[in-house]
Amino acid sequence: MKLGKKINEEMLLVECEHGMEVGGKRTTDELYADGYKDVCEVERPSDSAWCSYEDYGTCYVQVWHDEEAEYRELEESLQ
Amino acid sequence: MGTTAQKLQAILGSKADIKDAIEQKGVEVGSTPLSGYAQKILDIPSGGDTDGMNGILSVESKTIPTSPSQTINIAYNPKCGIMDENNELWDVLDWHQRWVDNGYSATGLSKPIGIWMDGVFGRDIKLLWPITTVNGYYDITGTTDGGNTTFSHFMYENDAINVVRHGNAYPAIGNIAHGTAGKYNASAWNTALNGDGLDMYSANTKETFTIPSRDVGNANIFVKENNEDYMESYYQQCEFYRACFAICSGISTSQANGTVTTVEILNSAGQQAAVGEDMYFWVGGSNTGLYAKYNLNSRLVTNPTTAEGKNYYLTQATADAIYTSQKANGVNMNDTGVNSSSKRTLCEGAKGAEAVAVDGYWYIKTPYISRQNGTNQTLFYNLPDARATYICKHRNVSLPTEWMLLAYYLNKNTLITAIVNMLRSVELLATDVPNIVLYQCWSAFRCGSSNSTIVQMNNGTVSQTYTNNNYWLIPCPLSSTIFTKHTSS
Repeated sequence: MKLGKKINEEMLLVECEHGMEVGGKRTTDELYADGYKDVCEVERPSDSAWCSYEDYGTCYVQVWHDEEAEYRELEESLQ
Repeated sequence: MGTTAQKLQAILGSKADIKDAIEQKGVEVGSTPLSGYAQKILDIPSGGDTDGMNGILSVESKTIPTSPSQTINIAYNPKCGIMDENNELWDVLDWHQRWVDNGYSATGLSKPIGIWMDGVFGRDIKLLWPITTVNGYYDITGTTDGGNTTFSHFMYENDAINVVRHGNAYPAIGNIAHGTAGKYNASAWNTALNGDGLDMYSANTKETFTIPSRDVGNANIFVKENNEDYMESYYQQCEFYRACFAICSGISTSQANGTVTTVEILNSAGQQAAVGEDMYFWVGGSNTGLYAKYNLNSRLVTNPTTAEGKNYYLTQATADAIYTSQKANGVNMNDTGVNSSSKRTLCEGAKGAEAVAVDGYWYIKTPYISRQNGTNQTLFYNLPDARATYICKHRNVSLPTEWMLLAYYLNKNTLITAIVNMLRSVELLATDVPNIVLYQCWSAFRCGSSNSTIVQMNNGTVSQTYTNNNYWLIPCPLSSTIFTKHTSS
């Protein structure tokens, strides 16, 4: 599972398993104390170009975006 | 009032009543003296559970195993879970634990059929997976592929039939000759009150079609909640129209009125017609001599003396043009043409041509064609019946209210995506669970003779659009369905 922390709108992601940072030395408790939160991640849909991480207080939720659909919406809203 | 003792007794009685009332509100009073009751009343929680009242359920993170050695976090709320094919409502964590306990496998486990959400907009909402039909469909001529995920809503340019009315319809007027192929039994039709509902009677086939509620008129957005009444009214109105415009086959029968039999579409020799070959209606093994064309209609006019009343809706010219195209493409209205297996004109649940017994003769009903526009056959003009209506009837489900669809939209990126992703990617149920819908979805309600309401899942826009447009269907189970909450052992 992943923990994440936003710094200047950049998301730092850390992979963790069994209470420890994978390939690192920090425990998940230490990461939480350092401001990291759970990241609820989902598989990337085939037609998605990029993702954002929405802050829901106790966790971040990964949201994938269809770039073309958003351009279409913007176009339609301007007509 | 009485003696002092009686007054004291009355006060003691009131104290006991107050204690009971406080404890019913979930606050334990126990042996608290009366002087402490005011604080106990202040301890009563106010408001109740408001999570989801604004449409958005709160999110917390839960860690679930994806394999014996790996985990992921998912967005979770105990008020949003999974419905299964046994009509059980599962908490997401219980559902996934079952998968883990089954050896990280879904083999042998009940299948998920949709999502439930409690308390969203103050409603308990259940939505089934978006509809994807096994076989897609083409336009009426077999030219353009319509796919298998988007469907028209209801007949185009037809007002609801929900009041007491009567009339006579073209083309039956002036063409009545019971028993003669291509003619009609009667032109009259009427509607009559039936409790809260309405009976629609076609004198042509002597059949009655009943809707359970007359409260199915044009609806503004968010106002109506009786989605199932609307869906049933659409279906019955379609069937009523098929009856009103049914033509005599010329083939006699001893079957009782109302008996239905199949109509075959074959060449003059009784074989499957080749591409380009004329196609005829056959009933009971006999060639009717009638070309397999859609029945003409007048959209059920009420006054044949007006200029509008004498106008046909599906004209002979259009019916001829459709027939010519179907011949050329090797398709027909029953999907029994040489190319029909790959170019279906009927959606799931739609009927094609069939015959009903009327006073000793078979009368042929065909799909009702709306959106007549000269000979324009492109882009799904000349709409056969109402796809969403027949699909939902076939699956015994309803289209939802706008509130239900907004609940999906508002929780789509969090809880619903989490569930769908877990089922598809972790539990490997992608063949059973369609992906999230990001486009326009029909609600159950029409708002005019040509328009129904959609909710756009990309941005939450709720608007109205032509009923012949093809959009997604996210159905809901019928309210009569009994669900049970799954309890973990």
